[in-house]
Amino acid sequence: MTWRLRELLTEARSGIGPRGIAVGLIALTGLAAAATVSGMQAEGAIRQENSLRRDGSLVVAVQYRDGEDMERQRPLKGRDCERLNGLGGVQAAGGILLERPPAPVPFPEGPGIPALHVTPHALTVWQAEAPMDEIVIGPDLEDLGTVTVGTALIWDAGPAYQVGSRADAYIPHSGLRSAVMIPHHADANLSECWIKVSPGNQRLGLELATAVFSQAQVEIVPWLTAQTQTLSPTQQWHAFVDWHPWFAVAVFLALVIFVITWSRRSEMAVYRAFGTTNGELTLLITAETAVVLLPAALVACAISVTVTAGLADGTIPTDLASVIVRILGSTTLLTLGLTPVAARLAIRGTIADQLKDR
Amino acid sequence: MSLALTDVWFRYRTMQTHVLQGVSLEVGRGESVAVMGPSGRGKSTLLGVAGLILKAEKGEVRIDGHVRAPSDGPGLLGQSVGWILQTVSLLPRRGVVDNAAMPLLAAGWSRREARREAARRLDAVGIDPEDDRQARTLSGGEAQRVGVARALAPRPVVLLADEPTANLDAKTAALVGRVLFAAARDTALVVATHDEVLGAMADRIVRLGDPVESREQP
Repeated sequence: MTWRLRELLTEARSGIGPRGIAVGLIALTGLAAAATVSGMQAEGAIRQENSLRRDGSLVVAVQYRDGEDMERQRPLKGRDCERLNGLGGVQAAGGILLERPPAPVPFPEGPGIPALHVTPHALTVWQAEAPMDEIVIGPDLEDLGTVTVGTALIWDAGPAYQVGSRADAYIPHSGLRSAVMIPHHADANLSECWIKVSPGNQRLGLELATAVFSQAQVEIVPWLTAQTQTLSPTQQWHAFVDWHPWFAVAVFLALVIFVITWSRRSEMAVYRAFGTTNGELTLLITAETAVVLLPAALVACAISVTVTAGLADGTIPTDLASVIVRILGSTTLLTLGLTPVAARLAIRGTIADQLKDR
Repeated sequence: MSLALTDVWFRYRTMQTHVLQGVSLEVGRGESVAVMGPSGRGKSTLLGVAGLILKAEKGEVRIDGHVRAPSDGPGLLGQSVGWILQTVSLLPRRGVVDNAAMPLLAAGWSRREARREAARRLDAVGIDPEDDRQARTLSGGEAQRVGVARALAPRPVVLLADEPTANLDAKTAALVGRVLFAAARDTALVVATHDEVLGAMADRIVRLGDPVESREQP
């Protein structure tokens, strides 16, 4: 290295001409397109994953099986289910009591309302924000209009209890959707226990359930069986291309840089004829690329976030913005990584030959 | 001896015959040599071999007493060996001072020092460094004078000028020639040219195509 690094970087900044601006514009277009496409794909994937999770993909269901021999029947204990709360990898655990409460009525002589006793954390399995000490009405039942939030429910001649809130509309458990859920302590036997695990811990959930309930007469199954996707080779290739636009854009930009540098070979030869080594020239071209690529990436980020947000209800979740930033970061870094290779290939050859290109 | 070529042979890969056949040439410091001859006889090739951008098939190139090869080029080109190229070879969008300072920057000078030295050299060839115009706005003669200033900025041992006046009119060519020979009086100057007027300014003329023919200037 004979150039001072600082002077070489200054040279790179000063050397941005129309070709550099062209690289910047092409990079901006490519990066914005890659980030937007990836952002939209990520948005679709995140939406699908959220939907699967909402449908219970993280839940392991333990269901009580009635035995023929009532003498040897082994119960599903509510305390065993509830105590799973707080274990590592478990987000929530709770269930429905085996014994149903008497059906309450909304007014004297009114129709009986289906009711369930649930353990304190039962609803937490199905929705993030769930009350633990009030009566909750299932969305399907409320839609019928007989009982709504605020309705007082009466049990025989006893006191009335008001329905405190409504469960989320997307709860996938049909029993919970069509009943009122009354919180109950866990010292009772359950008909069902659900264990919701953290993402990636489905196997742990199954093993935990098997270990805890091995003595009980139960069936342990994932709440939602994921569909196996078998793709044909062509579909797999399409999926690869679809999911890697950032890679394709980085390679494309490296090719553009190669072509642009090739068109500047005589200029590069002038640098070489006056003492600049190939290594320094490679660094110079990489620095020039960085000077136009980094602002292009920032503008592409703004464009991509705006477009993706526009296509996704006007807002953009943090994880989606993070996907876009990471895609742009990867593309930019890969392009900068490929630039020295492209530059070196473009400037190879003798100075004499390159000077003749003038 | 600043530059010494001994029994140099050179052939381009695409050609059957040698362009240079046993050429020898010695040029001392402060001496100027004009290499003349018809097109295709190897004037530029001779400079290319002497300037370490072409590799001789046979023979020896000594610069400042040391045997040199193109592999030494990156350390010597633009520094000990200065070039004035046939076509205008400035960076078109850069100012004349930056263009003239380039070899100094490549030698590790700071930009400030390099520009100061380059300005002095530009002044010596009649270019006003204060008027730091973009190179693309210069006339052919001005551009070639900037080329002279650039080549001389690092005070090279050997200065090679390949058809420096080829694209200039006679009046401008004479001006550039005078500037070149005046500015290069501390170096070993080899000029390849068709221009008899320019050749006449050199201390010695070597005519290629007739390897034995060489005459001292009167």
